[in-house]
Amino acid sequence: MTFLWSEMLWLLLIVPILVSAYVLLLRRKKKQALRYASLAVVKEAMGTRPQIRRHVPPLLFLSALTLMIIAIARPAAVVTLPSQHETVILSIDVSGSMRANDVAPSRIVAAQAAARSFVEQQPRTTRIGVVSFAGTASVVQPPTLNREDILAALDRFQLQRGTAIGSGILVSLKMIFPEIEIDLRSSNPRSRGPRSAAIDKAPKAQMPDFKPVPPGSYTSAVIILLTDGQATTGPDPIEAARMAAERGVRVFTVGIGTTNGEILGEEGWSMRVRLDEASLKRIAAVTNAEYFYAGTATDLTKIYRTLNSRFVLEKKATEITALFSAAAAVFAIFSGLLSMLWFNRIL
Amino acid sequence: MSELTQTPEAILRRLEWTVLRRLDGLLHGDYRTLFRGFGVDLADLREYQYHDDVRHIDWNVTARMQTPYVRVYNEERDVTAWFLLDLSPSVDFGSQKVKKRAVSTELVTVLARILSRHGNRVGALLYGGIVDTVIPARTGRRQVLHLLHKMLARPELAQSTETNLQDLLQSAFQVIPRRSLIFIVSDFISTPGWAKPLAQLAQRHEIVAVRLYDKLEMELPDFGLLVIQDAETGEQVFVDTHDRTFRTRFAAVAARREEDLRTAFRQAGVDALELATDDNIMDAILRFADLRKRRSRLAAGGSIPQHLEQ
Repeated sequence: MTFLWSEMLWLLLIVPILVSAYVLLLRRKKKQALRYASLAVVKEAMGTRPQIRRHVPPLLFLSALTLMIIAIARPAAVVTLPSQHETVILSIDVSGSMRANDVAPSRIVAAQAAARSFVEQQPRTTRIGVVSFAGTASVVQPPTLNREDILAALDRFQLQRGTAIGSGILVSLKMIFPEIEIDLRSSNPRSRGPRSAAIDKAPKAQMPDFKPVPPGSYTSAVIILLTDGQATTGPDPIEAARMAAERGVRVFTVGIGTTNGEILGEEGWSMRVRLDEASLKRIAAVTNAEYFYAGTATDLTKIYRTLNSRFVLEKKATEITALFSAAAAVFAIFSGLLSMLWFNRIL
Repeated sequence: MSELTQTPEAILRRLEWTVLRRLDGLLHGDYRTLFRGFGVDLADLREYQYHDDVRHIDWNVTARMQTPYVRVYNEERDVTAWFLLDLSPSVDFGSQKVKKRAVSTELVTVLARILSRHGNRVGALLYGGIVDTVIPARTGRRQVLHLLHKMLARPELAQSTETNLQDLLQSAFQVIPRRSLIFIVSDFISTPGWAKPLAQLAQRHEIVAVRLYDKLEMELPDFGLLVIQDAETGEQVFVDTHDRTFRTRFAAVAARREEDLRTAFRQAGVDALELATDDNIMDAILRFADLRKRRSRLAAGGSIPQHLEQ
């Protein structure tokens, strides 16, 4: 435990002074004494038991004072508290397969509804951003605190062709870390520098790499990825997940649809969609997160709700003045109550 | 009761009017009801004649002889009454309107006046830590006034040594030569060891112990937290009277102390009269008269009724 205003601890010297003052007060002859004929009977009636009851309320009061003085010095300690995400990126698949009706009323509508309820449950201090990915990923809403903007963004989805899961992850990552360099066009997302460089110039010294952190340790941002099929185009999702893991960001994956595969037919042509659970699970494992499967709309809502409440307890150094003040108040109240109960006076 | 800021003369006159005249009415002018059984020798037995006092009939003889016979007493001898007064600071305590000391002063005045009115001699020993005043026995109203003045003139001491009644009793032994009627007026809050001298004194004289007490000494009601100071030693004790166990124990200890006192009086052969601070003087003296009547009946060969046996 450390103290933010440790000079105030000098006030603790008051405590022994108070104790000695109390003892002196007890010892001195009281002027307001009842003059009585003889104390023989009184002393015999009092018995030999030590009279500690009358010292209990002052003792409690002294403890309250001590706690208050410690609270003045503003103690801080490493406390286990639920961690709050500061940024949540919702990454939603808007490929054509999301039009299917196996999740009522349709996959995309269910996803939007679940995302909406998730947004409403998030605390006001969380920024939420929305990324939609199909053949390529685009930022629908940069992270913001404004709930209306986010809800409006959720309604703006337009279904396209293709599913590039890796792009979804990478664009979300870029929203969290704007300085990151990603390459969406090749299958290896790690950027090798500008694609066009002058031939005669020496290659620029690489910027020093950032220091990789353990996966899942960056707790202030989270990516929630929703998809219904397998990656058909774009960068390798596993490699993208590794990039996220290097920065400690967790990617929660939600799979929607059927794993057996389904044939969707529309406008005369049909396609087969299959949910690739293995890769989604791998993405989640790499970034030290979790994978969820949603078979119905309620499942989906439930998953988002689970994600919402999936707080991680982290150890944080916080000021615990409030604890000490509360304890001091409790002690003072007890002192007053006991004194009133036993002696009909406040202290 | 009384405001003791008055002069002795005023106090005596008030007591004469309020107490003594009523006593005369109740005792039919015969003060010997109070002091019977003492200093009266059976001089003669003669047959009953018309003007004799019916109370002097000797019933045992009458039963034997089948005609009323009357006892004739030889009553010329005067009673010398001595008052052993304990005026230590513990007597200065009182929870009602008056203190024990005021009550004792009034009682002593009344008794002394009754006695001196009939030509008896009255003297006193005043004790306040040590026996500091001896008032030799004299007759007359002036003696009563002198006694009253001496009692009132004592200042209220804040603190003193603890009362030791042994000193008082032993001084009485030395000072009082002939057989007398001794009233010991005290609250008997003293270092133990006075029972034996009392018994010795009782063999020589006739003693009436007047025990002063206050209702607060018998039980302490709930006053909350108190600091109690001993009137004699000045020692202070912090007491929580709110505690019920303390109060019951206090009452038990006080009752036990009373029992011990009564036992000591009985073993010494001393009559005890108990006087509380809220008692009426008249009632006290009538109780005393009753006590003496019982004792005289005992002396005449009767027995105390069962319910009065102590």
